[in-house]
Amino acid sequence: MAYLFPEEDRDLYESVKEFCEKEVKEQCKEFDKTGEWPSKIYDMAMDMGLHMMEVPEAYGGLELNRTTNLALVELMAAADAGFATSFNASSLALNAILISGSEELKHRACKILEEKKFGAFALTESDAGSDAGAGKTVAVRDGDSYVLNGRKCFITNGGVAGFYVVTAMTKKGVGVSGMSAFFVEAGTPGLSTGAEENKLGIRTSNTCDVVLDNCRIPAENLIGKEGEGFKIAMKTLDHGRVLCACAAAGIIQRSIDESVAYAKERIAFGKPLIKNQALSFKIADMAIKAETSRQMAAHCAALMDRGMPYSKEAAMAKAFAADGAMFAASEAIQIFGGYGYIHEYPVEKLLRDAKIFQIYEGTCEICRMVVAGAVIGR
Amino acid sequence: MNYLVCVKQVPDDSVLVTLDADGSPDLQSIDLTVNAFDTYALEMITRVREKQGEGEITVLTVGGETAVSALRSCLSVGADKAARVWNAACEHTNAKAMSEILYQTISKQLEDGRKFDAILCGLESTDTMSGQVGARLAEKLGYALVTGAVSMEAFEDGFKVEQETENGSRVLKVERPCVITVSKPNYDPRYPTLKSKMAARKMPIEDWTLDSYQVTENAAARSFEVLPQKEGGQKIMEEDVACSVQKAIAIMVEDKVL
Repeated sequence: MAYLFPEEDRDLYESVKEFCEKEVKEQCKEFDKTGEWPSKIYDMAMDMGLHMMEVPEAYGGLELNRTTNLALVELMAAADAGFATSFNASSLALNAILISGSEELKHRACKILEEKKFGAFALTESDAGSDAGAGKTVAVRDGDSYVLNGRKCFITNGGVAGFYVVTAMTKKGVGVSGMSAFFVEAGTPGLSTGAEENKLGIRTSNTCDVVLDNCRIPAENLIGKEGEGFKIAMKTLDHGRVLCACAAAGIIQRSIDESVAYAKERIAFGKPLIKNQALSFKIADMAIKAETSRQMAAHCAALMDRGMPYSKEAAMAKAFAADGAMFAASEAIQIFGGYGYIHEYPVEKLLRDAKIFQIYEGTCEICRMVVAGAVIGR
Repeated sequence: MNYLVCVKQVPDDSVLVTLDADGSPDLQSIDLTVNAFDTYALEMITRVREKQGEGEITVLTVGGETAVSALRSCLSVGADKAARVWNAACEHTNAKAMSEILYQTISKQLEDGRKFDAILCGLESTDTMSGQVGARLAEKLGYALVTGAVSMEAFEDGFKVEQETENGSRVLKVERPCVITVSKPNYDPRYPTLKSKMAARKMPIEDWTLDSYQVTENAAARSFEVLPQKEGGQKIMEEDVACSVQKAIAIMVEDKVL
């Protein structure tokens, strides 16, 4: 496996694997059906500390080795991609603050996480998805405060977060350079959330609108400087895309595991399915995609450790792994045949879960624009 | 209060064991883990300690270098201290020899001024399943013994222990010091936190090995055989014997046995 994490972290890997196998994988099937928020599973996961993996030690976190962190994210996603998504989305919000926030904001955000709450990253609006610069949410400076107005949509953890990172325009007519990012605590008057979205996949995660209606926050809640919002959001997404790639690798690995187990059991034409070369090649292709996704993500981690730019590599990893997850989940269904198309079997959920990886945190098309931009230049 | 939990590192019992060329169990490829019953014992005493608000839990194992990971695993889910015993006398032990090694090791600790209010063992180990070590140890120490505990709490100058019986359970009171062997309680052992796992790596492992052990010879396994998997049967357990018999006859009639 491409994640060459320190050998001493093997025990963390085994513990999280056991937890995901015993407490997440099967249990989430039911929540996938109902769309309910599996609060007990999240409570247990937070008791274990899965929400503190990336939080720096200085702020009370575990500050795990980056590669270890990636390996654990994959395990979580292999058990249930919605489960991993909730923690990844929280990490997005945290990273926006770690990248550009003041010391004070870093302490406040990490404190909220320590209290076993999630963070939410609120960039998208109904008319501003890939074109984030078209956002209409505004923030107006008023003395020692900013007053925020607007409506964010498709916000992961929107209804369950303890804090939000919200982007809003502080200057009109200058496009993305008029965008700023703000730290908003849950419970701030004027902040409310909409109805939970009824999604195709990752149904164990919470997604909803976040509404800002004359939401007044202290001026020190500005993350970085005015006008830096877009830059902060893009840097945050670069980081998030690496975690996305690992989560997608988790879906690929799960597709492999389910397919191999089934194809060894299922007899057709007098022999187990797995003995058919056409089918074993499908497994090989899935494995190639899983391993390549991991290696791409691990490479990003190595670049991060060296303080080198990794925006292009993160976009490559995310696009490749997301497409790989769709491929693998679809092939898994193909291997299962008719059974694969039925809810009672585990693989149709993988396809529903996989699709979002081509959409959120920068669609695969946006990722290709990032890659093309870096390769072609001006 | 001071508690001692004796733990054994065993091959993961969820994996099917096969025999290698010379007819002995092939354990090379099977992950090692803490015996499940020992994890129940540790969880049970950790809960007693948490309820009492005080107490120190030491885990002890007889095992080679690999057993250190079993001890670290225990340190991440409740144990405060860990000790290991290992020398040539400890290799290829059976239940009798193991209880002798434990007895001599613990006696030395008692001589040195340590005190254990309760010594806990798993009811049995999931590999050899003799279920003798705890009882033999209690006999040698001259301590009271309760086997098959499914729950326990501190009580007056001892413990109140719920013991599993054939048809349910009964509650026994036992004075300190005592040996308690633990069966599966109606809860699962806690998961370690990532933080406790990382902290356990840095904790010291004491060496309680004696210079020599007096271990008597006893029966040793001479050959192994893998039995075919038992087919799933039908459990008949009605309210009373008469109802059970009726049910059994009904099933046999339905299956045209009668």
